[in-house]
Amino acid sequence: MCVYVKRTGKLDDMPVAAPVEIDETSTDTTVIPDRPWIVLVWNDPINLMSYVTFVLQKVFGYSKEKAESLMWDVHTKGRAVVASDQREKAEMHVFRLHEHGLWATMEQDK
Amino acid sequence: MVFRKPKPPFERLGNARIAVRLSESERQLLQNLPSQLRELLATDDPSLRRLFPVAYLGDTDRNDEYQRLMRDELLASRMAAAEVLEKNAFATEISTDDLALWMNTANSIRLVLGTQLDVAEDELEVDDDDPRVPAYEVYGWLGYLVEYAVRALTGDTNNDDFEDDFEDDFDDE
Repeated sequence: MCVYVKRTGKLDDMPVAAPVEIDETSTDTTVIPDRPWIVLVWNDPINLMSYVTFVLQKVFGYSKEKAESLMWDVHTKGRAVVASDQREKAEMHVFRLHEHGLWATMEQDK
Repeated sequence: MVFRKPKPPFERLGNARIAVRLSESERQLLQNLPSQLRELLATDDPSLRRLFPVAYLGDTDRNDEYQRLMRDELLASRMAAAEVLEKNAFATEISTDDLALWMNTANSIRLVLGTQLDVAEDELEVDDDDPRVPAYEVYGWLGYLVEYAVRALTGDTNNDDFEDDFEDDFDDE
């Protein structure tokens, strides 16, 4: 994220068009219903840290402390799990994060 | 040189209202940029990619389905937000809801500009005669607006690092 004052190296490893790994041995359509879906936010060099914190508060209703802590995880680790939910809800979270310009993806928890 | 602390561009007034303090030229930009964004949104320009991100990494089928279901809604949402800013760019007082849409659009334009400029997470260093200077200035200015919009919306007024950082670049004109 962009902080203007100081920056801490490159952490941006978000692939824009992700390389698709095809695992021939498994069928992609199998979904185990009990495993929740996790929503990830990825670090990017454009969005402001304060803005990311604000969006996490707004979309998830998190306290400023929790949103800030997640934002720092995104910033320092390159990504963070910001929510875990059933698929439809996770998809709605991803949509709202996209609406606010954040780099969000979802995947089924391992 | 800075002789006085300038008042912030957005200030919360109570009753969910926001005072807007921007110059005539800034307002012209705020009217002009959303219109450009809306024109761009009607295309499939690659600099829009940050506005329509991948939802499922490494799962083309699910991602295609997500894009099919959600892309139009996302596009409509961006168009509507841009229109709000374009229409009341000269307002001296707006609602907090409108400021949220202003901020959203300013951030969208920033994402497009940042993509076009290929901004990295390092200090920006461009020569004065670089043709990209105007775009960088708009990019920085939009960041300043987003930052102060966040502050006005959250009531956070006691962190001044950002402002100090910006005085060098923007307040000596």
